Amino acid sequence: MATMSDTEKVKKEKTAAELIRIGDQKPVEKSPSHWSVVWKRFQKNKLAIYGFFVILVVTIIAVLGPVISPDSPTSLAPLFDKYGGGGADERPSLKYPIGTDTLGRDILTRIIWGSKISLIVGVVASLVSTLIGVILGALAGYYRGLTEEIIMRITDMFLAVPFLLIAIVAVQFLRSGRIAILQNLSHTTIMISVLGLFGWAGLCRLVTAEVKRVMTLEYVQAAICLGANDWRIISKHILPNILASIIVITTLNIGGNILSEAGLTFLGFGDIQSASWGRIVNDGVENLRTNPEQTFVAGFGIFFLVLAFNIVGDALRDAMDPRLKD
Amino acid sequence: MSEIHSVEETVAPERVSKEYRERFGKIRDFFGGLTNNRVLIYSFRRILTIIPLFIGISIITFALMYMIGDPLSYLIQQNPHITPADIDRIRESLGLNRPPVQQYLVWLWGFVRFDLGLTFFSREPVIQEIGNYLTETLKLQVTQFLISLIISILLGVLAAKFQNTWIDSGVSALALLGLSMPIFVFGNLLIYIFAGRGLNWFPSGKAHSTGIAPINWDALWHGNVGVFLKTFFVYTGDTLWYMVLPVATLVFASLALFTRLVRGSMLEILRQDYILAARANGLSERAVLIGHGLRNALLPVVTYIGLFVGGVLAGAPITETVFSYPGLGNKFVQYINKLDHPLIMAISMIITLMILIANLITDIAYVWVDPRIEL
Repeated sequence: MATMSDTEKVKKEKTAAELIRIGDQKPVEKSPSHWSVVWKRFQKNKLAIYGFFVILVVTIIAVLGPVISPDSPTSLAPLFDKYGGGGADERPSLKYPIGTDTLGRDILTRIIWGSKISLIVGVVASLVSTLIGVILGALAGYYRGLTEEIIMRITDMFLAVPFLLIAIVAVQFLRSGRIAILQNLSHTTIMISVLGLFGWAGLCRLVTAEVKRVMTLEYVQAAICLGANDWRIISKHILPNILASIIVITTLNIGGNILSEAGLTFLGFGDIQSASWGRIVNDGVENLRTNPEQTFVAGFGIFFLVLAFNIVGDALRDAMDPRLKD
Repeated sequence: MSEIHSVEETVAPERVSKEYRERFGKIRDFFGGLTNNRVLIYSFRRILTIIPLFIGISIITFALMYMIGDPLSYLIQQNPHITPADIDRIRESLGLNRPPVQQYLVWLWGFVRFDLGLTFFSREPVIQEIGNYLTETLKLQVTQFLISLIISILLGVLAAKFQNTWIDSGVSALALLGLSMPIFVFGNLLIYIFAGRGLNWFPSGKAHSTGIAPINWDALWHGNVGVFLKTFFVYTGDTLWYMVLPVATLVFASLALFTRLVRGSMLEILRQDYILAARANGLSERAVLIGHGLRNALLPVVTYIGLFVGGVLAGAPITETVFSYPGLGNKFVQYINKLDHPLIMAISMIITLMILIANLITDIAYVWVDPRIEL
């Protein structure tokens, strides 16, 4: 608002002679770039700033995890720390603010270390599925014909897959290590590959439709007439114009992927040793009556992180593509 | 809609006598319509596309499942005294000595004939083993689907009507919460508050109390209708009692998606010219919202809901595990560790088939309801 009133003031103060001269001058200020406009619109959304803040805090915790809590998440030391408030299934104390779990591990340490898993899996799996979805979608939308037919049928198949069931089977397969190359994969890698490989279908469909829409516009036709090659047209003319939808969907996917990872580990799949948040909830459920904090601190951690990503995704959608906003 | 009706009326001229039309008109229209019925042709074409999808998904599932490991390793682990000859014999009797492609084809041929085979461990027909679980899962899912559909239509219409007021923000916030809440955390929260040693209003495990049967055959045999009905109602009440918490969890999860859809679609429709026309004609607000708005707004909702059925059905394992509900998802999680191939394939493929059929029905319904759609 402040900038608006300032410009208005400047306009009023200018005389007619000055106004005539302005036409000859070059503009002093550049017109605001697309991204600065987006950032301004994003900043107006107070809720989005909150979401952004939550993501930032969790990222800092994840990065500084080893500094904040140097103990290993699987360390059994608190079990024997009777005087410090440790032991098995102990209630919260000063030294162990969320208590200890059945095996006597400090839950706060596990949650801090687990934030890294949730974040990495959520973000990287989304990027993987975005990469697959954009490549296949661009190919299908650009070349049409048989290519589109084949890619769309594959997409249909992945859309109809009962996601969680197949993900369970896939995780079990990757963990079995029957194929030599796939042995010794970490929990994070397994989750990223499963969620990334099974989560691209929706985005692929969207990209195909968007590419087809952009293809009918004049500037793409002009580029074709000028003899630009396919790669140049796709990467310089088409993709930048559908970037907004891609970014929005990717952000919204992050939340979904975090939920899926937590769900899979909650069901007991994935590495049992890992300190994933879903795993912590799974461990805590047995003591739901006596030690509810074991379940709910990690559980609500997942909730707030996913909420933050969803809020930011929604705000990005509103900021980048105002047409999409109702 | 009125536009379309008028088109139909002008197309069908009065070619036959009024009497003939009154007597046979409907029947003739029906059979005449079959040959050039666009919906029927579309449905047929659409059903054909299901087959390759189903085969593709089953190949992926079978390949991944086959590569997890040897189903016999569990057996060998449990019986340390088993001899290699015994293992070979068992392998042959289970059909595991065949090459994997042949095993898959045998399974597929069985599935086509509605024969899901025998389980590896109990050697009983798979249908018998999972039949009960299937009905339990369907019971949960259908109930939650209907409830969340009704609530979300209500909330969505309200939010669209009072756009940018506190009602709208409240509904949007609720949707955002439902979308971000892990099912298992919300389920456990409900258990903590409403079950067991909390308020103890609802049970939190299994699907029925023990020792209750739906039908008292004895009473029926002796013609004792009162006792028969009483048992039946006690059983139904008991079942509903056990369904409250799981259904509430599932409703909370799917409510978010549906409400957002209804709201978005409703807002889109309310901006159309014919809504303005309806208002200008002096129709009541309710008539405009429900008669003109909601009727058209539900069209896009219908298509999307078909896609969500998949997510909801596949999400069953988590809810059912949280409430230890004897459903397909819960059993799937147990069988995957035992590597019981026929059971795993049966459960995942039955759910796949349900998703495909749900998509099919919504697609056909969409084309059927809205004649403007090109095929």
